[in-house]
Amino acid sequence: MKTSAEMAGGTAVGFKGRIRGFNADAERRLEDMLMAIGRWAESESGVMMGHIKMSVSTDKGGITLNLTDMSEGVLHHGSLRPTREAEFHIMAALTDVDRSELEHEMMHAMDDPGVFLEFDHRGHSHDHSYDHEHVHGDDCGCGCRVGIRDDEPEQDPEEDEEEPRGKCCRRKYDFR
Amino acid sequence: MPVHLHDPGSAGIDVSGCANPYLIRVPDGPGMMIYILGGFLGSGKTTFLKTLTKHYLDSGKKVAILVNEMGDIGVDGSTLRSEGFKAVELPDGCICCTLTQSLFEAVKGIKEEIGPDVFIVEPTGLALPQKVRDTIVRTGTDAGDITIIGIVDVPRFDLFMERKREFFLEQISESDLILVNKADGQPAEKIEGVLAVLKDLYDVPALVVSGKTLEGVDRLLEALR
Repeated sequence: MKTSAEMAGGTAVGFKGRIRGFNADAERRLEDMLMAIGRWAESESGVMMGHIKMSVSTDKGGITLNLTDMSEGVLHHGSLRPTREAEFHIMAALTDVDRSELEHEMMHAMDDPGVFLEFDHRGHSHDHSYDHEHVHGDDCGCGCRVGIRDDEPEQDPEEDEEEPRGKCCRRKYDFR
Repeated sequence: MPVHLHDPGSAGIDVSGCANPYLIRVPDGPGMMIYILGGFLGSGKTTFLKTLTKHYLDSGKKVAILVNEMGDIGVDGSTLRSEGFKAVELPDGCICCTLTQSLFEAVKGIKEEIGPDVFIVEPTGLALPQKVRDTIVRTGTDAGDITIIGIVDVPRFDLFMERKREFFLEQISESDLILVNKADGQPAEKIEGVLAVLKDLYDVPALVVSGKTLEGVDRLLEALR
């Protein structure tokens, strides 16, 4: 029996952690980060159908960034004064995308947003085109050479031409 | 508000003598009033959750909130907390199917420990709210009225109808009231088109609103009084 999410063809991925040095510029960069995830979803399924949202908060208030319509862009709600540290939560619930690809793309979007993000549990793993499993860590620049287990044999990327995983890596990074 | 049940007998409710067992009314009484906000991802459920909560708090009611999100990490619970609301959060699944047991226990816990006058549930945008209602009924809590408020989004209505028609229509099919949201700035003919489709499919009131400009919100609150 299908779950309702399966019936809708939907999936979701979320992360949380802390952001250092939050200010108006950081807020704009986070907006760009959400748009990057949205553009990826659009490229995957033709349209971004779902909800990408992020909250940044302290005990003094918080903001929420919402992206539901690419033509409308990211909508900002609430207010938060510049602060040295705040908590963030980010979640993307989208339809017609692969969950592990979504997770992977979100990791990439958050790798270098121009804002310092520290994850609560970034011990997240997923499959890459090299048929290895790698774990994103704080030192991971996602060049796909970091975190590969020592016992993993190196493989020729040309062997993986038909492998569906890791499309974003092939697009953005040279990991040879 | 009536409660429509697919199988009321299985919910432990005596339907003997009921002319139409599929359209029964949970007896009015001292029980908590329950709202379930249904609608697709990004339709504006959280905005109306906050609107309803503020309204009832201002009226001196005790309000409990339960939010559910598909992701293992949710955002709404954090947002609500930062705005001063206290909410029970059930992340990492859907309370209409994979987290029904968690919902069952949460509802019982909320009833026993908080005893709210009003209980507002926001399932994920991928949930079927009627299944959430059925689970709440199964808890046996002395619910007064359970109202499903379906929320549809005017700008993306055609997109949903084109790409997710079956699920989208199922999701709002058992709403007691439908909010036609994000109507601000939309052409009148588009809004009329949405209303015409809804009227054709469902025999329930539809209210044109905007969570952003608050257009129509007074009428909503009046209707729920």
